[in-house]
Amino acid sequence: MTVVQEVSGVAAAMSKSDLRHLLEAENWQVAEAAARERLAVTPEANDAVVLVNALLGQGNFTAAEAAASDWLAVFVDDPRLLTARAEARTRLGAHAEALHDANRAVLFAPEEPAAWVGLAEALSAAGQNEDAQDAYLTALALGDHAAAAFRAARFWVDHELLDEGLKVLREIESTRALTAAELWCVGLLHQEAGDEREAASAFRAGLHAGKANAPVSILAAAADAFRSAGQNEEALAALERALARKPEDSDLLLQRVNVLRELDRNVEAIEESERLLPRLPSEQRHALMLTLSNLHSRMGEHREALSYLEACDAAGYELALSQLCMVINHEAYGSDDGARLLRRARQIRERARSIEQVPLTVRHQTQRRIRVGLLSNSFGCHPVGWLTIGAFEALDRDRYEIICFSTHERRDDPIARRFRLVASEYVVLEGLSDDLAVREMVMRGLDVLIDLQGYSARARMELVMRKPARAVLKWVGMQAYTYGIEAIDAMIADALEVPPELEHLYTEKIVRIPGSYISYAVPEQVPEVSAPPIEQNGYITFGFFNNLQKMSDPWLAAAARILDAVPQSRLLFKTRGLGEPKARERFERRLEGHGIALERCAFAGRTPHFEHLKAISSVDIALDSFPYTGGLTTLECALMGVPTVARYGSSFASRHSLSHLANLGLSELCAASDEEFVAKAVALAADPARLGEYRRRLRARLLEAGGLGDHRRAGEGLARIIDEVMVSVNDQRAVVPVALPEASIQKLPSSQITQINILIDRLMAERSLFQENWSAERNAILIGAQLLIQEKPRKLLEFGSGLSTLVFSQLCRLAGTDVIVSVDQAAEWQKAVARECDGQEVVRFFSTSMSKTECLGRIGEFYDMPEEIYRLGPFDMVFIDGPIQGGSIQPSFNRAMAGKIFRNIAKTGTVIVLDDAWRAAEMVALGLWHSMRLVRDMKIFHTTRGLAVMRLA
Amino acid sequence: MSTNLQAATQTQGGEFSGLAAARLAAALGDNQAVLRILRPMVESGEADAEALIVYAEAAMNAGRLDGVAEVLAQYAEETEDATLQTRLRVKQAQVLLGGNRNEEALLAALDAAERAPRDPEVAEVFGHALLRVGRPDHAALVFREVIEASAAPSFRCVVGMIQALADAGHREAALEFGDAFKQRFPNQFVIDLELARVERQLGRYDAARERLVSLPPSLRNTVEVFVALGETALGALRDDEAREWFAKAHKLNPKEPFLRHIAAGDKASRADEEYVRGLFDSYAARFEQSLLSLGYRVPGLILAAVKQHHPALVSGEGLSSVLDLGCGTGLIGVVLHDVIKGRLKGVDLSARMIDHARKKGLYTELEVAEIVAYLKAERKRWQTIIAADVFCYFGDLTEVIDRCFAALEPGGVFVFSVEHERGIETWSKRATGRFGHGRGFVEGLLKAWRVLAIDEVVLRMDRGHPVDGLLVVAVRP
Repeated sequence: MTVVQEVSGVAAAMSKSDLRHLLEAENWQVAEAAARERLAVTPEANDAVVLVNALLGQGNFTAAEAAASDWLAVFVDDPRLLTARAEARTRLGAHAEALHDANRAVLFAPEEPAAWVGLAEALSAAGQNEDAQDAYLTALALGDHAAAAFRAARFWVDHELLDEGLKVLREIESTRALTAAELWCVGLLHQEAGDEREAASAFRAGLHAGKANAPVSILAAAADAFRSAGQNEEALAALERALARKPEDSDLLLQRVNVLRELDRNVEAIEESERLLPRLPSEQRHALMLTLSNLHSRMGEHREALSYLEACDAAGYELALSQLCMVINHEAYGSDDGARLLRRARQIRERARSIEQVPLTVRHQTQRRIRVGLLSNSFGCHPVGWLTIGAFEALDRDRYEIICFSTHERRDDPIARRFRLVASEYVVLEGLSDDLAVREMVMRGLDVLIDLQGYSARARMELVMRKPARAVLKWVGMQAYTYGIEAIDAMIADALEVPPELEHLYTEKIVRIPGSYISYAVPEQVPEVSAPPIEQNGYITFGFFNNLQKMSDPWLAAAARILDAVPQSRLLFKTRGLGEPKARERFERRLEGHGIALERCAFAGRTPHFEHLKAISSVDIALDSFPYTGGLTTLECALMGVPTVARYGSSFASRHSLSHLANLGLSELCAASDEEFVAKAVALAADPARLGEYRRRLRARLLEAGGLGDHRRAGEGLARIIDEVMVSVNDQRAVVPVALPEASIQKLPSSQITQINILIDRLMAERSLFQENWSAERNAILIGAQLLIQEKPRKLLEFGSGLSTLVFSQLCRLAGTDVIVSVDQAAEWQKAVARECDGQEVVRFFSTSMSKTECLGRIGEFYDMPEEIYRLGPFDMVFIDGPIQGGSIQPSFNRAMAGKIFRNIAKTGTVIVLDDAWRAAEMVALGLWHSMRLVRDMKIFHTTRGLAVMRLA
Repeated sequence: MSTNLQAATQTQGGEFSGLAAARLAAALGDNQAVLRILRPMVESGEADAEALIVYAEAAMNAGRLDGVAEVLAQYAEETEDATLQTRLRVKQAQVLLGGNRNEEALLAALDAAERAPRDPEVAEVFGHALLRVGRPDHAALVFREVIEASAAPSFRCVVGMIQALADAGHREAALEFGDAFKQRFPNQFVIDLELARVERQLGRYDAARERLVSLPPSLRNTVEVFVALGETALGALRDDEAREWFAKAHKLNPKEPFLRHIAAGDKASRADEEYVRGLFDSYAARFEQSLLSLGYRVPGLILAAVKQHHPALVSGEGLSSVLDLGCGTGLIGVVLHDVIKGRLKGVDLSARMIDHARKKGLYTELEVAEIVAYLKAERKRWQTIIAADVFCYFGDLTEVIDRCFAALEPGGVFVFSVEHERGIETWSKRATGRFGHGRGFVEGLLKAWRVLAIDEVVLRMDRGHPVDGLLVVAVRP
């Protein structure tokens, strides 16, 4: 059945609001057909508006314009039709006509936000940005129009005026309360800027500011902001409100699944996902299957988790593989667990080969401390924090400098503050693209990067793969198995985690800290150690305190046998996953399936940490999870005097507890098989004297010198590892000098710099051309000008004409420069620049075409250089601020192509200046020029996008 | 939070009222959202008293107090509900204290105290208002009564009592009292901060330091404690140590303007604008009193220098146009009033300081602006420019002095003061955040000028020591 047939006969019966809903649902074809049918019967303006908008929605602008014109002949000056035609005309490039329509629409409907939005769009398309901004502001001021908020936000973002938009709205807010639409816009702008707290705050207010209900699109954006800001309850409430209006909207439902997951309502999320799955298109379906796999995994249901993952992997869905590795840790079982993980890790390595490692930087000689970067999403009260902070604090600050790179910034707790204090710098990478995040790391000239995240939630292993340090170490934080990532040089372990006979299971070199590989920071406030509960209860209480994700069927089978063998005994499950009633019911069924009597079990969800430690105290023996064993949990049990019985295998994750227990002198509690695990638990249950002894001694053992809580021991071990790895790194990668934030040209007296600044001010104020359209950054021009005065080049070649041309030309006399050759491909623009430079005979403009070329193995587009330019050379200084980036290849290596002609246009010692040096392509170019010894003495100035200055070798 | 939200969504079917939403935002600590949600209601007079109280609390937390006390007063006068009236008065008093309007706060608190003398919250604000207006003995009586009557007094009352005893001169008693009570608040560092302050007043800097560094790490590793440690070190004249503590505080709160300014070290050639603005905005109400108590003498020195050197005064003509950069509360206007025959314009970064200057009625024009930005845009030429005690917020003076040159008419006079740092070539930033300048550096910047005088003077006292300065009079040739 065709679309038209589908609506045939129905359209006439449709109400106006039905038609509007079709538009809202972006059901363009159906809306178009329905509107045409209704218009054929009794023409109404509303239907004409729907028709034109449906055509616009389908991208059929010519038809939309024609239809709008036809119906404007009937409904003369209908503002909605005028607005719609303006949009069509804008898209067709008829800017003057579009502006005419939009202005007229506003004239007839000055109270209508949509008309003002239409005008703003037409103005913006015509390049009248200031007027466009005013029109957007008028639309926003008129109330609660969602499209006004979205489009205004888009306008500011697209024109790189994000701060300006926020500033304007802040100024309005200083005089009156903001309207709902204004608040939504503030929220969207903050969201775009990656400032989630501010975004959430604006939406929080914006959802309640207007009299009308916030539309679905705004509720969805708000929910996203709330979730990013960690306010999941609020996100859920916003989604419920949206879903009340659009109950079957897949995007909203997907968002809801993610929020439920964040709230540990895993079973609800599973149920909802399974209902949603068949309705989704393939890409979304695979993403949801990954989520489903993760949800099952969190419930300890690894077989289900694996089946989803393998389906995704088989379909070639890239993201599945890393998650597979995590799940296999829980599922891999038996003698070949380590080997299976190694196979998967090798697969990851193969797939990651396309990721290029970045060129590195060298630092000034004077900075001798070894610079250690830490990369984590969990700097705070989290296992990563508890198990590492002590060792970092123990590092000698005169020899090692620590810089934290945080990929997920949420925490403000005592451990989080210790990380901030131990670090000389704390850099938040959240919200930065991989390029920019890598730049933040590279520019700091890291000697060693320690990865503390692994494939955990929100982890960014791509940053590790690009190897932004001379050496990369893996430590804690999902340290469960070999990673297979080429960039990781070594994995920090101890003699029990990875004994020499298991090293073959790792692609990384294994380095070891004497004793335990971790350093446990004991909390400040802990409950007193109590007597074993059996003394009061008369029966043994076992406990499971690990993450439910670590639950496995073999474990359940073993637990059933232990309960059978120890009459009267009880088993307490205390784990965050069981806080959800549905999850508990589901888990109870699973227990029954293993023949475990529910009346012998007790359940508890998450509690505050102090209470959690008290709960640990309420059991006699902790039964450790396997195959993925406990980390912090095993230590917390020891802190409360509770012994843990554990079973180990060959993979890293299967040996955490073995390492912890053996380092506590409790290797008698570690089992190599299921049978042994059961036997050791049963034997310990029958030995109350030994339980009492553990209670008395374990806490002290944890804290004794050389023990797990001895930070000096771990710090010294870590320091030795860092020293060794520094000796062994063999840097094959291109090295470019680092830009330090303080880098600046000091030679010129400050009064001269002031003079240049005043010159730029004056030129900008007087030449309207450069007020909006100047590409080079002010600081870049300033540094260029200073170089000009210092270096006094007789001949200057500049790629990319603009304000810089004008500034340089004014400084020629001072610098003794005879000729400036300015090359650009945009002829009209260059003519305008030339007019501004009128009277400056020293400047020679060349407008050239561009063509694709190859240099140093990269492809880019570069100016076709006329012979005459070569004849004017060789140049003493080359200022490269063009060509612009673009073309189909990203990143585009256009400017790198200049390297190809350096030898023909310049001479040894010529000063080369490259603007936008921090962009990925330019970084690569610098690395290549440097590694080929084309240039020397390179340094990069800390402008917004970086300015590299070097000499031709 | 989750309970709040559930209650709100369940009762209202997901579309909860403005007040419920504001309460939720308040529970999340999002003061900005509370203000945004309730502002239209408050401004249109549609807010009820409950909403107004929520609004006032958010305004206090966010430090946006303009007009809030007045609305609270109006509601308190209009309501007939005695309990509500007391609550409104308490809020009003708190808001007024937040804005340093202490006398008014005392009246509001007194009004509440007359209605509900035994209410601990009333007594608390009453006691703090008494402290602010300099009646510590009376405050101590009020705090003592609440503390004795209550099984679990609030830590704010305990802090108030310590302050009251210390301000009344019973500092040893304050320490004894505080130490006796602080065990009741094991997770609070506020009492220790207060006790350290008393110890500093007693000159016992080591004891104050010891008290703070021996706090458990989770309390010690906080911005507040590090700043107190920095202030303790400043008091003991251990400037390097002070810098270290401020640097630690900066790591925990990189956005705080003062800490950011200190942490920038000598890299920043001038003080952080936000820091200077914030400092003087918060300082405005007690600025003059505080400066005078420090023996501040710059305005008088300026007057004397102008009278001695300015050609227009030497010839008896009077000053025809004066630009006062960093005019603050207008002290220069006061001293020069008699000799100015024409325009007097004041420029300052702090709107609050300008408010105080405006009240003096001496300036023909006042403008809130950063002075270099102002000079950049200035098209008029002035006969006289004065910069009194403002260049201590600039390290590199090159640009500002060049801009002053450009803004003066030929023959125009420039009078300014700097803090004099001996033994340095250019300038250096002190642990207090202000800059000191070397004499040679200042002289070097005045090469294009005709210098009439560079006098070595004492500007004021700091931590019991005189602050040396240079007072310069120069003419644009």
